[in-house]
Amino acid sequence: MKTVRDIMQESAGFRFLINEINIVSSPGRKLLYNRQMMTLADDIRQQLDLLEKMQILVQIPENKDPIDRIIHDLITLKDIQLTISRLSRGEISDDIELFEIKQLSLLNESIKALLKQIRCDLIRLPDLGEVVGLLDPDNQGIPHFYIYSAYSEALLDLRLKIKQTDISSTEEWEAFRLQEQELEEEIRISLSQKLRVFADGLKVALEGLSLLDVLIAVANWSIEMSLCKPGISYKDTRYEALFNPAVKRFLKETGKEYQPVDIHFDKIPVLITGANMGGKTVLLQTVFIAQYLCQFGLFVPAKNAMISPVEAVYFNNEENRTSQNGLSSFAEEMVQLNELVKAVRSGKKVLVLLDELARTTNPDEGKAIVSSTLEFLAGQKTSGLITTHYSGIRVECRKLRIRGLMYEKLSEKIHLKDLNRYMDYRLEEVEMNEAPAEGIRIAEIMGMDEEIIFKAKLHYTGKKP
Amino acid sequence: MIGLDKNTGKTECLKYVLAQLKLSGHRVAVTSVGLDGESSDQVTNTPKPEINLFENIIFATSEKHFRQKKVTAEILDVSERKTALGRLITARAMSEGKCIISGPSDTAWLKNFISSMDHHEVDITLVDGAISRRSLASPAITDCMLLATGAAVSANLQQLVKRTKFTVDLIQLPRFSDPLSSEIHDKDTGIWAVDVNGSIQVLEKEGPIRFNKATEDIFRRGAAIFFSGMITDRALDELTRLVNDQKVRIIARDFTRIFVSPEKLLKFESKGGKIFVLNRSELIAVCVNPYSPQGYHLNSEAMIDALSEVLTVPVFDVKKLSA
Repeated sequence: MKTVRDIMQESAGFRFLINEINIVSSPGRKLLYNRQMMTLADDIRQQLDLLEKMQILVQIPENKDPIDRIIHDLITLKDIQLTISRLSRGEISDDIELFEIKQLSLLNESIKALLKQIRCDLIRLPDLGEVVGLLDPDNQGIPHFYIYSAYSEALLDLRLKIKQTDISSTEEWEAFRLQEQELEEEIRISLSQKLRVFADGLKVALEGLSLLDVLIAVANWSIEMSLCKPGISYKDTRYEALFNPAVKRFLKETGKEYQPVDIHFDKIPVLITGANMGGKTVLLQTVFIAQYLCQFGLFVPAKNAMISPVEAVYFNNEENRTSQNGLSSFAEEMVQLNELVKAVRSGKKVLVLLDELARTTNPDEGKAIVSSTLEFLAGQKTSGLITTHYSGIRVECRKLRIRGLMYEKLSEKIHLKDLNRYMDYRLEEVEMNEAPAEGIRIAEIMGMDEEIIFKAKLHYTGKKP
Repeated sequence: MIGLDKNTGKTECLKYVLAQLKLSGHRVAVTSVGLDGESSDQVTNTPKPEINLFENIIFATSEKHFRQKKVTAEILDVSERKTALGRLITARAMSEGKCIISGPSDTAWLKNFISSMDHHEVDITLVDGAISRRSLASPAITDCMLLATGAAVSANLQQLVKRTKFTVDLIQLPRFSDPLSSEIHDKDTGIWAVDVNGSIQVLEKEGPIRFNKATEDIFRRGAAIFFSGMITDRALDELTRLVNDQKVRIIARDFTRIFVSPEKLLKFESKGGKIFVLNRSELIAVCVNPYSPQGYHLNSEAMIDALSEVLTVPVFDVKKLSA
């Protein structure tokens, strides 16, 4: 199953979004990045519910201070899994490991108290008071460590002697040092034996605190990014006001507004047509991102969403192509398409996202490939979004059109930068098989050479002698 | 604390300063920088020496050297990042003792370490530094600097004075003080034109650059050129040729990035060229070691006199001071 890390590598939009999550500890980041895509509705719901509850907690004004403290403390959370497994195997912990165990235990205790203060029972943290007791014999409550003199009278005496010995009388001093090391080692052995029973508890603490880091960060991020908790359905997928966070951010930075889109689809593939720059690719990328976010138990960029989980998402986005095997872009696309067909045949539940399938080959054959693929997907009751520029695809399926250029608003003076103001990105159901012919018009707006435009119009209308 | 060459008595000097600080009652931290990897000093190729630590001093060293320590020490912090010798362990000496000190492996980390010492109410952090073109880390971000020089540099007093003076001149190059300097800081690679109007443009992303007539325009419009990496004789040569009427100003990250010969620098500067640095430490003193490992030694007083004459900072022989 794919992990968050895998999808971050596949999709820049997804990576942008995940990189905005402000997880403060490295074990927290590791936990999120290694999270696997879930396919069972109950698993997904459980994660989403957990996140929703955390989101409620972080929004309560009185909780702000304790939560800020939790975040601040979590910065010190370190991945000490190796130390814990060495301890549980009965090996002797050295001072650095004992320091790590003490630091984790103190952190566990302080955060447990803070969670109690905000009445959060979402994370189960163990009781490590005894561990703290063992590693803090002077009861100082600070996360520092050495083999304290309080552990043994003999050690205390010896250290006094060392202090009184001149370091330049090397032999005597080193002899004392050797004795000190032996005594310290005895104490380490005894501490390691006593601590061994807490290895499981330490593991639970490490996991719990990592999860807490993820949950708080993800809850805050969901609020900042205006994400919503999706519902889980086995029937269909519906988005109300779906948006692409990276594109939205980019537009906002340049003073423009993002037009969110409503879309729904069920077990029939949908053919989407629309002008260039109409947002077809962004739409598919956004559906891709939202599907994965949901199946990783995260909220999605929409006002409302109902999502049907799948076992795999197939997206022929160029970004996802590896191109390492020396194949042309068309050949590679076909290899991927074949994998998709195999998966569908094997009964896997997949979501298919095909952006301008077969666009790099000749249009007649390309159209034929789009048609046969659509027929296949429709026959297999596979949900998917397939965009195309090709006209005349006569397959029984749902057809949507991106409204595109708002001709009524078009004046002579359009600034390239403003083009998005003249685009209507909404989708509408259509019956016809013709793709909109707006390519030349858009080329014109983009400031294309007049001669080319003029001749292109002649060619297009068949008036070219 | 930096040494001009191996065996110039940098460690002696560090020990002397530590011994003085012990008596002063200041809270002191000590670490080292510049050498990622080996337990022998990459610059001088000598085994790293143990440093004498006094009670309560904070020291930061790699995991490897921490495990070999000869001192009772309370661990204060264990870094997540690793040097080639393991994580960085920050600890407080609970008794007198010794430890090899090997610290952060790059400048940014060193900077963070120094500022993190505030949490432990440290008054002074000493950094055992190195000048090396192989090192990613520069000690030039400290407030002050001590330079150790000595007979090991040259048996000829005149040569010794000349080489020391040249390094001191580099250390004392003026800081490029411009509102833009923080933005330039972040440029880790490449050679950049820094315009008076505030814009920064890349001239060469990586690798060396050929300066030619086109470069003249950069200077003609008043811009300076920032080298994120080394400045070499060759680059300086080409720039010297361009110095005509226009002001040629170049910026180095710090003096440890300038690898030019005294003659070339002199030629560049006498024609009106100027070098600035982004990071600059105030040189507060020069320590001399009259003994060379080959067995000869120079007259301590003559050395101090000759250096004092050409330098603007005090010159000490720490061996004599401690005696």
